[in-house]
Amino acid sequence: MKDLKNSNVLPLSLEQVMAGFPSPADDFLESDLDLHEYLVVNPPSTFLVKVSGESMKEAGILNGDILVVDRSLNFGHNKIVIAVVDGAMTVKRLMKGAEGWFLKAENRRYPAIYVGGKSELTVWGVVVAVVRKLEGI
Amino acid sequence: MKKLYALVDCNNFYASCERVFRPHLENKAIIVLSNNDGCVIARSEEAKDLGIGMGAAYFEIEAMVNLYGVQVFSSNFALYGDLSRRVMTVIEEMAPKIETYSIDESFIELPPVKDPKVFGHQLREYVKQCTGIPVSVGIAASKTLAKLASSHAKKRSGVFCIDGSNRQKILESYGIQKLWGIGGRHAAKLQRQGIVNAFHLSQADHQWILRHFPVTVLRTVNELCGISCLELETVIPDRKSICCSRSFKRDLRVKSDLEEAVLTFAARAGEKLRAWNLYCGSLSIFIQTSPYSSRPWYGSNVSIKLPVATADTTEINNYVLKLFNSIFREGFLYKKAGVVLMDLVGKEGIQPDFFDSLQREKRMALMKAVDKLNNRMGRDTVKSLASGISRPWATERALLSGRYTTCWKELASVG
Repeated sequence: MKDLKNSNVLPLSLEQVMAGFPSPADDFLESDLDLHEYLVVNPPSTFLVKVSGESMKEAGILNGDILVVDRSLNFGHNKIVIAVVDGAMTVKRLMKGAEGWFLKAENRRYPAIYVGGKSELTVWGVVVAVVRKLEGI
Repeated sequence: MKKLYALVDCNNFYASCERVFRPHLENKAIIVLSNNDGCVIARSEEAKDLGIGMGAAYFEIEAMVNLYGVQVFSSNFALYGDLSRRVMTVIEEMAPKIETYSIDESFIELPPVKDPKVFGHQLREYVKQCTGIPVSVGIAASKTLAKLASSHAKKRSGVFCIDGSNRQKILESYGIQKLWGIGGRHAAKLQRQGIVNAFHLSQADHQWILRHFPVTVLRTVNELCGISCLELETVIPDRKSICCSRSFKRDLRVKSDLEEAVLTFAARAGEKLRAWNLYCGSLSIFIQTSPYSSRPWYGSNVSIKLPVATADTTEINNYVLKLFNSIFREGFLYKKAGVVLMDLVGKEGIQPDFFDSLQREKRMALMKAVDKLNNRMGRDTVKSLASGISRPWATERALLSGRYTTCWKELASVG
């Protein structure tokens, strides 16, 4: 690992890892890579929320992940959204079926949520990115 | 085409902020309490309908709160400030000429649009979609009329235009004492002349107005007629004084505790003063016990005129301490205290004193450096030791919601 770090085998990734730390090379950089700028396209309408539970596991969204949610985007079929169902915020995939909109969990153990009867569905925002720090780092 | 202005006003702003990350509170009565959880500073529409008054003491309405299940929040200014900034940025996307008037209101100049009302509705929907905050939009040919229109918008569909067809009727329904830009003293004088509503004022003789009132009143007359006299940037918020005061979560008996509190308020007020590049020519402080307690009441305030206007916290502290020592009485349980800085002037307004021995330039540089550090590293990174370390008087905010947008540990959770 150490050898790799000190060699020039992967110049591209080295640059990325180095970004943000003071180094003599800083003078030659145009600017640091800003993850926030990369993840947040519309700052005033973008909010972060934290995932609780496993219902979106198969879409790569795990318990404890931070979701980047943009409220300015229009919702649509197949988009992962933060929806409000009976007053509670939930992350699910929004689907349009023959009988209208419904919410699909990305985990076989969770049933889809069909809207109708007394329940009401509102889309709070569209999920645009997932942020996760790896464990043990 | 004639310019049109709009006042965009967030509906029940603090209560609406609390709903953004707690959608189950939609259509529920919500109140937000002041800094020390002492009294009501914001109410949702449902809470207003229950008859909960603005500024009501919490203990007086607690029974009603429990009976109707009213949701109660401590004020969460980290959240409100962030959402306010977002709302203003979103408005600016649609209307680049904007003047942020307060935390929940901004004036805009309407971009050239075919139908102002349609634009108002689009703006309203866009702000609501992007931020979750509902706003009202009042549109008219002047800022004064736009402000009137916005109060009508709130009661209707959220957008209201004042134009030639409805102007007279609306102005007639508006009492002179409530009018934006007319102070209480002028209102009383106008009423004595039979000018009791905004329409009367709009019809007043200009020469007569100029003879008896300052030119600002004539400006209001013109504005009411739809002749715009207040450009977006010309209205400078009233900065005649800066006040920093709090009620304490528990009563303070010990002199050193109260002294710490007063000096901390002085430091806060000083920060504001320097942020606005102003200097204060006089200052006052007050301390008082609770008016609701059965114990003996004591309260006093005292002020002093400074030899030279200053923005230096150490100098302000010296005066505040002197004043404090002159009014503090042992044996009382103090509930509230505050510091008010007055006679504010810009740098050019300072009258130098021949006998002045302080090195003002140097000390000002030091103060600005401290403010910069505190801004960057968090409040009170650097502070005067006199303002205390433990702060037993610090405010209570027991019912605080999450700082959903400014604190990693307090993000909203989604299932």
